[in-house]
Amino acid sequence: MADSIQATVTKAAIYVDLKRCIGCDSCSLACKQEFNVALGERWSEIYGAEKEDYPQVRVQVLPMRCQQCNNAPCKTVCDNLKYFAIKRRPDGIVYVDPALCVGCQKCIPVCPYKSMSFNTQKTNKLGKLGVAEKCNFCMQRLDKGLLPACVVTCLGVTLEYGDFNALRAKYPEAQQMGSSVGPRVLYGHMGDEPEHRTAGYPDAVPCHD
Amino acid sequence: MTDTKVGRRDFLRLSSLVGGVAGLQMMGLRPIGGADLQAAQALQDQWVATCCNMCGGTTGVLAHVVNGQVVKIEPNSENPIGVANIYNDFINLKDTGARMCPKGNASIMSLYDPDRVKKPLKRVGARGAGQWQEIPYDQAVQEIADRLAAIKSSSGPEKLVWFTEDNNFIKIQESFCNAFGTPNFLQHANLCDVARKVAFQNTLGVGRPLPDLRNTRYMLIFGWNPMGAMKWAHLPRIINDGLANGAKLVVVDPRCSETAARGRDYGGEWVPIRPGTDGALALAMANVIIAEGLYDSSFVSNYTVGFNELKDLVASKSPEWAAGITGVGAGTIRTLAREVATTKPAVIDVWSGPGHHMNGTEGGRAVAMLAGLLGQVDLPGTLIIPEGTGPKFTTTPPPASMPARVDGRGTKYPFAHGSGVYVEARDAMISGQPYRPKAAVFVMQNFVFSVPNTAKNLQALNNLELIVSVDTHLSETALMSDYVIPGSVYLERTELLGQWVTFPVVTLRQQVVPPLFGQKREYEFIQDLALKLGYAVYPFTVSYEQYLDDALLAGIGLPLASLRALPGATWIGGETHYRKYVAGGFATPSKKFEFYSAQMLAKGLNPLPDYVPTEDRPNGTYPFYLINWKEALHTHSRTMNNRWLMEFHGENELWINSKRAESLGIADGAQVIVENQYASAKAKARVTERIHPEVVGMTHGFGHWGLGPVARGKGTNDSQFVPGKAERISGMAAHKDGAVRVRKA
Repeated sequence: MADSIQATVTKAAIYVDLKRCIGCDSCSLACKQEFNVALGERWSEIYGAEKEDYPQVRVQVLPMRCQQCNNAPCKTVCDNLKYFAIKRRPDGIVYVDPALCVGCQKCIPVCPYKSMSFNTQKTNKLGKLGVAEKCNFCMQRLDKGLLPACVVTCLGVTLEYGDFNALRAKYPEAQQMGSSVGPRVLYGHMGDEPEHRTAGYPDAVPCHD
Repeated sequence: MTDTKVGRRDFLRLSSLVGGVAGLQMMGLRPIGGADLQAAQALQDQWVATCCNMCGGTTGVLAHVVNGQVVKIEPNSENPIGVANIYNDFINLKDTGARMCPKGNASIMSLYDPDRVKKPLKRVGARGAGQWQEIPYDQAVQEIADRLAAIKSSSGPEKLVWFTEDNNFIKIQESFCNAFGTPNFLQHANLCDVARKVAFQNTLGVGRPLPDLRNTRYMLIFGWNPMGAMKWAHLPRIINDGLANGAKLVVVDPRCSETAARGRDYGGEWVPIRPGTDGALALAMANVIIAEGLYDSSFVSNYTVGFNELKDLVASKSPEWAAGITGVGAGTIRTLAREVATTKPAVIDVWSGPGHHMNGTEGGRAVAMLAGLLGQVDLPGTLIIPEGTGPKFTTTPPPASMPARVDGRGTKYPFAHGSGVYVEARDAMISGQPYRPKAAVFVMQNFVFSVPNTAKNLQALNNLELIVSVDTHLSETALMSDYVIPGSVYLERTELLGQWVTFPVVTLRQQVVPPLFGQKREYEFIQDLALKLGYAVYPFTVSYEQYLDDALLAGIGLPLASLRALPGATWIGGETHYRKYVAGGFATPSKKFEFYSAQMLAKGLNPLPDYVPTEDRPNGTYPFYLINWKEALHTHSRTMNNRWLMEFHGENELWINSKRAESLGIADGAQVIVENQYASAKAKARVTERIHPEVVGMTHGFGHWGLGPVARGKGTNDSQFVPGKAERISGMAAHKDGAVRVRKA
């Protein structure tokens, strides 16, 4: 299984079956472990919302992380500033090279998904504390033939990693968010997306461009 | 040591920058040296199979150790906990990987929590004042032994009451209590789910049937939230699979739990109910099922006793009768009864929502009746009677005659679970009835937060002469202690575990790293204490691993080394079997499924699960029911100093229905005062559509003044508002009885 993970993937993507997500944040904690994400920062989180009135209430949850946009605003702004710290792999994964990041934080507000973190405990290219960070689909794991950390831990078996076109074909109903920039995360069973974080309730955070 | 900003990242960076040993010292940890250094070097980079203990679920995990440090925990697909609870499902799914909950994913932050207790502590100030002197371990053991011996000789051995978590190193503790001569050995199950255990034990002869949720067509769940408070990591997956296969999920609960919400997305239902009235709903469903002839007459006539008595009991329990009690419409009750009766296989189950009330056993029995009426027992897609097995430990025998127990187990509480009755032991410390304990030992137990009614718990502990806590943190109970012995996180110790699936499985929880501070493990402390008291007998005289080896050989004929060498350190003993009652009967006195329990009648109890209202319900002064629940991100009251878990849920909120909040002028996120005759405290309101209008509630376990700087002052302690009674049949703590009023702060 290990070798086959990347062999068939020319365009990396994750499919999220929202009907299976229970909003437990196991994915987010697995991510914290995998990357030792700084205290107070998260590369993955769950948004949640209530719809309808008692007792017909419905609960919606949405795992949110970097969508690996085709036309990534974070990369564009970094390139325009000539730092080139945000790079794209042939499989489309967008990642931050910490050795090139100057900590300017210009990439943070442009992310349509609020998925860019800023690690104030890590030293940047200028020798000062502060490096931009985000989900990179666990590319170091993929290169070893391992699935992303969030995918292997997910309690609801909600997440599926694979080739974008293959997942598209497998889940023809799947939707994308922010299609103008061409993200690589496909959401199944999507309704009105939540506007609140479950954990930070009721702090409203738009998660859609 | 109380810098809340220090996390694992800093820990690892300090270790690597300053050099391993110096880094550890900076963190207040013991330098690695000698044999430990060799052990650490041998473990340069490897994955060790073990079982999680962030909660009691014992999910199979793999720990990645690099240069002696745990850097990652991932699921172990050789262990069924995290994959599936039915043998065929386990075999079919294991290649797709096991699963792990957020708490397991935050294990490292509990292991490397800088706020852990590192050295034995002796109280020097007033009890509870938090003034400590670090003392050498040997001195601590000697002083505790001397004081226990003095209490034993002056007042009798039964004046020692021993409390412990219940899936860890139980038998060595039981051995200690036997050697010491105290009958008062209590484990935490009576704070957990013993109403369910006693209800099912007295109905189908086994305390913990397990639901086959993956292969069912209908799930009728009373007061259980396996997609939020998932004790076993496979539960969300098998429910999702069942739903994807077309099952309908109906959840009866005052709160729209994660499980209820997920069911609704697949056409299922949330049935909001008044707390503690589930039994009335179940009896009314039985009324409909019997009146309309929807029961399984073959199962009923061949494998049950007491059908006619049950029929007479429920004849008057009409849906209209139940509607008045439960708040669930009579039409809904009829529809649900017909649906569950005609959609098979069906899982009909009940856990700790109904179980945490003063009518918990009756309510659980009433729900179990439905499974019996419909024959939905021990078939694929129903409640399965597990064929568990496990190690067989030899314990030190008790003295020929033991004094009477302090907690009324088996007497005042005729069907009390073997774990005893915490509430009663607590009350004895206050009332002196039947006698007043003088000493208590708490192993992995935050008694002050875990037993309902916090003020009474503190009052009780203040009456004791000697309190010893073995804990990883200075919990509120440890803060009341005379001695605190540093405890272990599961990654530091070795144990044997029978697994809670439907087929026989034994797994190893094994040491992944040596104890961080060179501390003795809980079981080694108990052995040392026994030896110091002069009990030079088995199992105190052998290494703990030898004790495990003996028990495993006796239990399943396998040496410990062989279990360790198995894939995932997991032994699978057989498949899931069905309809075992056909050949062997049920393990009840009648060998039948007992609608009517003659043994309950013999103990002066109602042999039928008639509806009895629960106690301490709302009134004019305190108009809201107060309930509490568990969630995915926390365990009991013990994970609230875990920096990662607290990042994702750092304080509990008081859930209140939007209509009631509006009339009280309470806005979402506002501070409110929650109060009743027992306590008054602030809470943060969460205005929601997800809770019954007559009910408010919160996640259990927040509002600490101990544990550590991350936990302290976050959220509200729910237990302080609870009257703190024990249910009279099972001895279960009635955590969810109680009423409060709520007003703007």
